[in-house]
Parts: sequence; structure tokens; C-alpha cells
Amino acid sequence: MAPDLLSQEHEVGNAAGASEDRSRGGLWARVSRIERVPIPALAALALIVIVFGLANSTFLTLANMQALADQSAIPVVLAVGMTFVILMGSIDLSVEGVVAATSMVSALLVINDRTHHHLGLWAVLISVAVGAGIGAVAGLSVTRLRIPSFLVTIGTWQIGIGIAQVLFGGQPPVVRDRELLSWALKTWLGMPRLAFVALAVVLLGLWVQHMTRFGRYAYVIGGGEDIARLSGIKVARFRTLAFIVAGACSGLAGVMATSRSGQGAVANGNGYLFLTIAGVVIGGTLLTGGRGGVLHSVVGVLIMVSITNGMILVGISPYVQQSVQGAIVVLAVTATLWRLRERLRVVK
Amino acid sequence: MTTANTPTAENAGKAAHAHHKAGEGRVNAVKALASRLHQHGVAPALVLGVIVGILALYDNSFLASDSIQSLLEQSAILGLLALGQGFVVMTGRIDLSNAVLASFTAVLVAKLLPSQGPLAIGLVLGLSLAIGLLQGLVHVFAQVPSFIVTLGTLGVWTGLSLTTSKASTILVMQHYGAVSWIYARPYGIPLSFVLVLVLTLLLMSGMRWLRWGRRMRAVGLNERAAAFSGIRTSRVVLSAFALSALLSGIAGVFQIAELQSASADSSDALLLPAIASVVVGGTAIAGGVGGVGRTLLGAIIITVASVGFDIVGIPSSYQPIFYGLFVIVVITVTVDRTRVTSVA
Repeated sequence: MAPDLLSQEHEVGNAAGASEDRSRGGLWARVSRIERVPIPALAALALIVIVFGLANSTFLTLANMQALADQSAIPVVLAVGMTFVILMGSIDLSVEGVVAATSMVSALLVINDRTHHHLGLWAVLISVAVGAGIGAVAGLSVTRLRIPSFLVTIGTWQIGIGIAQVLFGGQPPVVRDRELLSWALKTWLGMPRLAFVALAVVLLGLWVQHMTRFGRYAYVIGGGEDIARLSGIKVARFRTLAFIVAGACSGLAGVMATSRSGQGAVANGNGYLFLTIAGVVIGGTLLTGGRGGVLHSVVGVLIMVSITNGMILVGISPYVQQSVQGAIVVLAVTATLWRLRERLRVVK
Repeated sequence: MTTANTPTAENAGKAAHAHHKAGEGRVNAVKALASRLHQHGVAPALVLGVIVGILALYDNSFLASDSIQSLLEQSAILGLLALGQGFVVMTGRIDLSNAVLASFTAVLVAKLLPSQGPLAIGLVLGLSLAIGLLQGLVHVFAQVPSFIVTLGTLGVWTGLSLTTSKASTILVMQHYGAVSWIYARPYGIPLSFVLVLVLTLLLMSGMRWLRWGRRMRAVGLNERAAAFSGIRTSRVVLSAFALSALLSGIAGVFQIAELQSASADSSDALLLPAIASVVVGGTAIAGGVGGVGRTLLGAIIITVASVGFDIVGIPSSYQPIFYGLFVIVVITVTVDRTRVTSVA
């Protein structure tokens, strides 16, 4: 895998036969960096849309497009955060727990039937901060205490569920804040407002990925942590930051889940872990890190949501969804890691 | 500091060096003793003793034979899952699907028991063994990290148990007698725990006296070296995953025996407690170090701790927070940082 960003670009440029074009000007070299656009995932998405469009006439209607946008909004936000964690070669399994906790926090802080808070927009910020805090616990445990991320984030997953259960207190807080409820209920340009929130997060994620040191170092760290460290990158700091970003995204997703369901609930996060991981992986972000990006993950999530939505339209039991998503995770990872297979290679 | 510290060296630097070495030697001796005690599972036994002591002081009825019986009974299912997880962790891997698989097998037993009778148990155990082999094969053959394979299958079995149970609780009426004996208490002895104990002793002796056990340890300590010395490491890894799934299947049968019913997610919450049992028992997450008996001790510790919550009066809604923090803290304390090379 490419040791740093420069040579990665070089390698990709070579693969596209662009090494001689580089002298002609930057434009073609930029366009030929195909890794920036997830071509295979986009092709798969197009294929799925065509198949379901032919199989069921309602799939391509405006109403179903709205439903798709509504269903994708939360997992897209989750996937943007998850992308940076996976780009660095870690994983965050805590999304459902963090969504549960922050959904409960946000429901209790806006106008609701259990508490007398009415913090409005501040509740959103506090929820994002709570998510970032749980992310920080995970990130610091991985980088400072040196515990594998999948174990730490199972821990923070349960911590999040626990926080939600404690706040739940046997009675779900029902949200009466019209502003927050309108996120899910009202539309702009025919699309639910939640979708625009997700769009904003995606644009922000793309900006972070391309324009900030954090975003570019994510590739370097995922490509080879040792080399990143040797070239002076503070790996631990950036890896911690990735978990904080992922936690913050989960926090925002928690608010969105509250807005969508109209109440704070422990179960508000259920089902998002697979959707997110499957989306990130199927979009073409390698689990070993270093390849992929925000755009890949977004397309991957759209693929997963389309499959789920299409399966329901075709009449397949919704209970099977988790099985399908689980199988897709295994198949997608197997396919992307297949070429790394080697005799006597130790994989744990 | 008596033998090694004879100041034969003339200059002070050398003496200081020798002094330093002697100190190191004593530290090493203490470390060696500690590690020998640790290898025999003294640490978890001590922890258990301390927790039980505190609870007994807090509540006198805690040590009554009645509450001890129900405590051991409660630890049976967790013990089964922890034993299986322990083998997978021993090879340096993880099985995230075992708790969900126990829920799934319980649903299957509940579905099959009325029509098949006792045969249903055999069928389901066979199926869970096959499932374990499948998970292990995908991991070993495709060389996909174990946490991803088992995370994926976690989803697969969740979906299948939802589909099979149609998301409702199944009550077992016919042929319940085929399993109900597991939770009998002849002469006040909880049979469920005795069964788990017998299974533990069998697996312990397997680890100690069979070639398989030594290979398992070798694979966990250094897989590459084990492979170079002629051990078919993939078979050893396969056996760990198969054993874990089989024990999940047995846990599913136990769950039917205990509750007389099954729903799609009845054992799902045991994933983290089972991992906690393994690590608190002293099995290293890097693999190779640990054992079977101490894992059962770990499961009893976790059960006592959760019962202790009720005694002290902490609501059960706090328990996930405790398990989450507990796992992180215990791994922090016990992890061997020289052996965990990648912490991604």
C-alpha cells in the first residue's frame, strides 16, 4: 500500500496511464485520479436502481425517492464519521449505542413531556458534544491504553445503551419541540429537511477529507501507520480525533433519529451499525485503511438503503434485512481483501 | 540483594550497574512467582473471594445455600458462552456472534421441540457446530479478520432468529420435559451448573493432555512460529470457532430449559458479559495466555457482580455502563503491550 499521499497519487496516476499527461497540465492528472470517485459503487447503485425500478413500478416514484432520502439521511451521517475511522484502519462499532444515548439526551433537552428544558438548537450542540465525548473515550482508549478498537467500541456501545437506559427511566420522553420535529416532517424542494442536514454533513466531510491535514493524514495513517509515524505524523492524536469525529456524527444522527421518531428511545439506534459498516465497506473503503473516502461511503449507504427499500417493495420480510446486510458485510469485505490472501499470512 | 550483589567490580559505575541488575533479578523473581500464580488462575479466584466477601458483609443472606444455588444456576449460560469465547480469544481472535447464535439456537429448539422431541436438541447442536465451522472456514480461507466475519454473521443469525420466531416469544409446551431436567436441583445441587462444571473439566483436561490443547496455546502465542513448526494452524483455529458455536448451541438449549420460552433476542445482551468473563478470568486478548477453568471463574465473578448490583441497590439499567467500562479497564490492566502490536 502507498506509504504516503504523494506516492499514492503517483501510483494511481501510473495505473491510469497518466504519468506522461502530468507534464501537459494538472487537469487531466486530476480527472484521472479515479479513486476519488467510486466508479464501481456508482455502477452497482445504478444497476440496483434499474433492477428494482423494473421489478416494481413504485420504486422510481417521487414518493419513494422521498422515502429513500428520509431513510438514508441518518446512515449517511453515520457513514461520514465512520469513514475517517476506517480510513485509518480502525473500526467503530459503537454507533447504535451513541445514537441511543444522544437521541435520549436531545429528546430530554428540547421541549418535551418529561423535563422543562427548552434549549432548542443548543440541545443539538450538546448532543453532538456528548457523542464526541463518547468518541473521545473510545479514541483515547485505543491510542493511549492500546486496546484494539473493536473491543473498545463494543464497550462504548454498551456504555451508550446504558446511558440511554438510565435517562429513559421507564418512560420515553415525547418531543414537543416543533422546530426539531419539522426537520423530519417538513420538506425543502420536495425532499425531507433531514436529507439536507445529511447533505451538509457530506459536504463538510468532503471538505475535511480533501482540504484539512486531518483528512489527508487519514490516508497516510491507514496506508502504513509505521511510515506515518516515522515521517513525523502524530498518529495517536489524529486517530483519537477520528473517533471524536465519528462520535460527533453519531451524536448528530441521534438528534436526527429523535426528530424522525418524535421521541427519545433506547431502540432509536437499532439497525444502524450494519447499514453503516456495510455502506462504508461496499462503497469501496478498505477495512485495512488507506483507500476510499466520504463519497464512497455515501454511495455505499445509498446502495444499502436502496436494497433494503427495494426488498420491502418486492415483498421480502423486513426481518430478513439484517441477515442480508450481515451477509453483504462479509461478502464485500471478502471481495475487497481477497487479493491480500497469502500462504502463512496471519490474520486475526 | 544478597547473592548477585557481591561488589567485585572496582569502579562505582559497574557496581551501580550490578546493583541495578540485582534489583532487576529480584523483580524478575517476583514477576516469575506472580506469573506462575497467575497461570494457575489465582487472580480471578482472589477477585471472586473479595467480591463475595464484600457482598456477604453487606447482606448476610448472600451466603445462604439458596442464594448460592440460584447464583450458580444464573452463571451457567454465561459460563457456556464465556468458555466458547475463551477458546477463540485463546487463539487471538474474537467471536462476536456467539450470544446471538445462542438466541437463534434457542428459537430453533423451541420451534423443533414440539414436533421432534429430544431429537431437536441433537439437530440444533449439530447445526450450531456446522455454523461454527462455516464461520471459521470463512475466516481462515478468505483471511478476513474474525471480528468482521462474526460481526456479519451476528447480523445473519439476528435476522434468521427474527424470521423464525416472527419476532414473538415462543412458549414450549410439548416435550418440555426433554430439557427441563437441566434446571433440576437434586439434593439442592443445581444440575445446570454441575453440567457446565463437568464440561469445563473435560475441556480443561483436553487443553492439558491432548495435543490439540498444546497446539491451541502455541497458535495463540505465536501463530507464525506454530505454522513453521508444522502445526496446521488453520485447523486449530477452526476447532476454536466450532467449539464456540457448539457451546452457544448448548447455551441455547439451556435457555429453553430455564425460561421454557424463546424470543429472537433473549441472549443477545450476553455478548459483552461473556467477553468480560474471559478477560477478567485472565485470558489475554492477544492470545496464548489463559485457560478454561479461570474463564468459568470469570463468568461466576460477572454473575456475582451483577447480583451484587441488585443487593447494593443499583438499578439494572446501569449494568451496560458497568460492563462497558469494566471490559475497557480490565483489558487496560491485563493487556500485554509487548504482544499487541497493532492497535488499529
